[in-house]
Amino acid sequence: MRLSLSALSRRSHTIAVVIVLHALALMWAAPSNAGAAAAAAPARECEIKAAFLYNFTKFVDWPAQSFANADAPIVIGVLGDSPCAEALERLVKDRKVNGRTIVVRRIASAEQAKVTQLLFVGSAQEAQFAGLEPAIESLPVLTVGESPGFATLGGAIDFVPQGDKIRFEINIDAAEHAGLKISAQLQKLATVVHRSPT
Amino acid sequence: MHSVTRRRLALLLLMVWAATARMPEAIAQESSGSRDLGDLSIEELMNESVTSVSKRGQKLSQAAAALFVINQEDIRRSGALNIPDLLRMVPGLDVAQVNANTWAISARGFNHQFSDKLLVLIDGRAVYTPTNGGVNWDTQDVPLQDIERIEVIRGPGATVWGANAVNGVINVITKQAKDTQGVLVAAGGGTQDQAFGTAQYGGKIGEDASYRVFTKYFDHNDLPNLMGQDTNNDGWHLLHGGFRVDGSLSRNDSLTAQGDIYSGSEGAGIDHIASISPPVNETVVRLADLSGGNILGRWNHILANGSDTTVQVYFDRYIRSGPSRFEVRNTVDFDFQQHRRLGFRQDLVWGAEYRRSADRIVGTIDDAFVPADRTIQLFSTFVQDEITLAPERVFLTVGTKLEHNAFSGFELEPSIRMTWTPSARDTVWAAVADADRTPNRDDANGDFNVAVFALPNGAPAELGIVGNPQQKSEHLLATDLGYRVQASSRVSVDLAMFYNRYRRLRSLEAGAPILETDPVPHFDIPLVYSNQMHGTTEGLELSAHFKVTDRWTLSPGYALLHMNLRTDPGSQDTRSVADIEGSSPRHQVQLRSSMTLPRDFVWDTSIYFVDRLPAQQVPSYTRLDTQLIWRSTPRLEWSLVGQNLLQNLHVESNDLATSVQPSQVKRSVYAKFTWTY
Repeated sequence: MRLSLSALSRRSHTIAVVIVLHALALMWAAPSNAGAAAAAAPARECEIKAAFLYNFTKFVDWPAQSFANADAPIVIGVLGDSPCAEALERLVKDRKVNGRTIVVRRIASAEQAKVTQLLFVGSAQEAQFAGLEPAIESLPVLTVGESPGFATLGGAIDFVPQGDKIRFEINIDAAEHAGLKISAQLQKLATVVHRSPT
Repeated sequence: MHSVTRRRLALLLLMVWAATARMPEAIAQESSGSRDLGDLSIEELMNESVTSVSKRGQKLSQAAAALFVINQEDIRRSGALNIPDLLRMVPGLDVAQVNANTWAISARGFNHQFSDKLLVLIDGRAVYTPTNGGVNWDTQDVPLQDIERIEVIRGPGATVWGANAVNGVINVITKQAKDTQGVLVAAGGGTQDQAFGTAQYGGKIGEDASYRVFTKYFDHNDLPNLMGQDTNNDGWHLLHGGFRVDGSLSRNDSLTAQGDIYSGSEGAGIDHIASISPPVNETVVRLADLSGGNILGRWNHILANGSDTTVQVYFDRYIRSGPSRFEVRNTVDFDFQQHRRLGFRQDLVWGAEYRRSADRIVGTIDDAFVPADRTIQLFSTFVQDEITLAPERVFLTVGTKLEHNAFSGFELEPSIRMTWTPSARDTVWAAVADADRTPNRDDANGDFNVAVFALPNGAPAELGIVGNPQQKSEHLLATDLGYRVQASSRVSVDLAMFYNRYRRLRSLEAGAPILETDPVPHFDIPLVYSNQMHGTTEGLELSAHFKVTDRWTLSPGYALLHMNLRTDPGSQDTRSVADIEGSSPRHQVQLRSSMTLPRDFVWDTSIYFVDRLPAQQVPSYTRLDTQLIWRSTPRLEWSLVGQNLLQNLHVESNDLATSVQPSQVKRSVYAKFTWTY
């Protein structure tokens, strides 16, 4: 076997030149524009889910005592560090439902969750939700889970991916147990599920 | 020679200057498509499409395994025309081209033409062949533009994927038909890849189903042998057609059907015993006709409680007529998987699989299997539970596989994995897993004549390797530890470390010489497969992404491997330890650069350093590949690719145990266009 070992030094020389070449390119490259942080596909999914959450508030009747007064805002709680919280904040800004403004709050504890009208539970936050579920189960909080199965496990609504579309399921029993009325119009668009023993 | 390289680099340099000097003018103009989703009704929202809806499951960054994902953009920007060249970018994978149509690919050592410890699946179809344990890479001709992503796991994946996922698993996942709509025509040619082309059409069937059909062809040139002579005749060509249909039967049921059919031929130099008395060994060139096809159906049903079931059936057939034997294999496989949610904290996956693979292998004087026909069955079942121990922080995955194979009977492959995410930026993971490399036809039934020679007394003798029907599984207990960090919006680092302990590794033991009379009297000196080797390997793999500017990303990678194998007491095998340890590189270093230039140009360069292979007398080498892509219109893209630019010729593999004569990899260039409509 004849291998050109003599090529070694030449190769390392060439590699050095390639590195220099890239370094030069770096000097010439445009200064970074900090605002262009990329977040493409999941961002769109969050925006759509945020729009769903906003829409849900139009189809749910909360008992009057759920609000401090007639002007109190609808509070949408986002549990933990869900990446969708920002999209939701942007979307509800300057919007009103039944004369009430909407505010988004990040929720870290059961105490904070108790005073929301809607609690959004991201896929990664379900285990955290399991811990505070007993505290809010019979309070008028509409619990919406990001992943399928959340409603059958006791939540009120969950999102279900179907192909490239997002659909949702409603657990009517859970909503009623919480003292919430979900309009028939919304129920018609959803798959209605019941709590299943696991 | 020297000045030529310099001129080429000077040219590249000029190109970069010319291109980057204009950069500041062309700062990205964001197209937000600013449609206010808040104004849409629920019905309208339900009809909004998202590129990919994430199902429940851990994020890739939280996987408790050494996972590397090659996505479509990586593929487009790699300049690779085949899967082996694409896999070079995975830190810790060892990709060595043996000849123009043959590769040896492995992770974490034990590289060989048939790396029997690396499992490879294409859309859920196993392409690891039980003939010799390994992959015939020459016929895994997936159209690269249709690949959604390639997931590469280094380390064991046997609990879910099954036996032979010992040192790694490669999952090639193709796009759904809805994502490949319209016409695509791509063609090109160059010095090595002389001519290649793909034509594809994707359309819709009614409201709920999409399809694509494609045909693909390439003709690849010969590569010179180790002496630089063009005698291996290892050029090859392959014609390939295929389809995929994805549809939904109802809101909760989706169906996929896909299939391929291919035919081609290639050549190779092989060792051949010309005569036993007098003893004459020679190298001859033989042609191989390759053909085959597969068809796969998959049905996914979503249950109302967030659980889902998947049923998959496939049939795969391949025929390899040459270079050293005739082989036909028909495989049918049934797979069932169910994913169930057990409360808010637990996700359970379980499944069962049955595979039946029937072969006929007609041998020659050099290479035969006894018996020539064999049908093997595989039964397997697994269960795995993902448990959230601390919300958003600590995750535990436990599971086991139980399977029964035709050669070594029952195998149990449990694993336990843990992920800890102290913050949203860092992930620490650890795993202890068990995996088995099950015997194959070669181990159990092989009968290979390696060489003939004259004994001191002049009598002719033939050295052979003989299979052992009692061969057992090779066993691995692996310990893995990893850390991933998103250090800033510009820097991410992924480190994986492993310590592997192997038992019952395959060894070759001397058998008793036999006096044979057929076809002429001679001594048969057999080496018989056994399991008398053990040892440890350790190492680490490091990869990083560094976004130097918004237009330039650097991705360095490094892999270190140390193997420490031993024969068992009583073993007479004096070769295998050195052969195996010296056939995988100790160090591998890589650097990939991706640059987005103004005027719709992108420029990518990769440098790979691979350490020497002492057992194969292969010196270390450095590869440099580069690609310039220009999107001249939104529908038309041109690319110019140079591969192995640093040297005219280099050797990547010279494995004595390989069935074919090695060739040298040659510097090459090609040009290509891709037109979509």
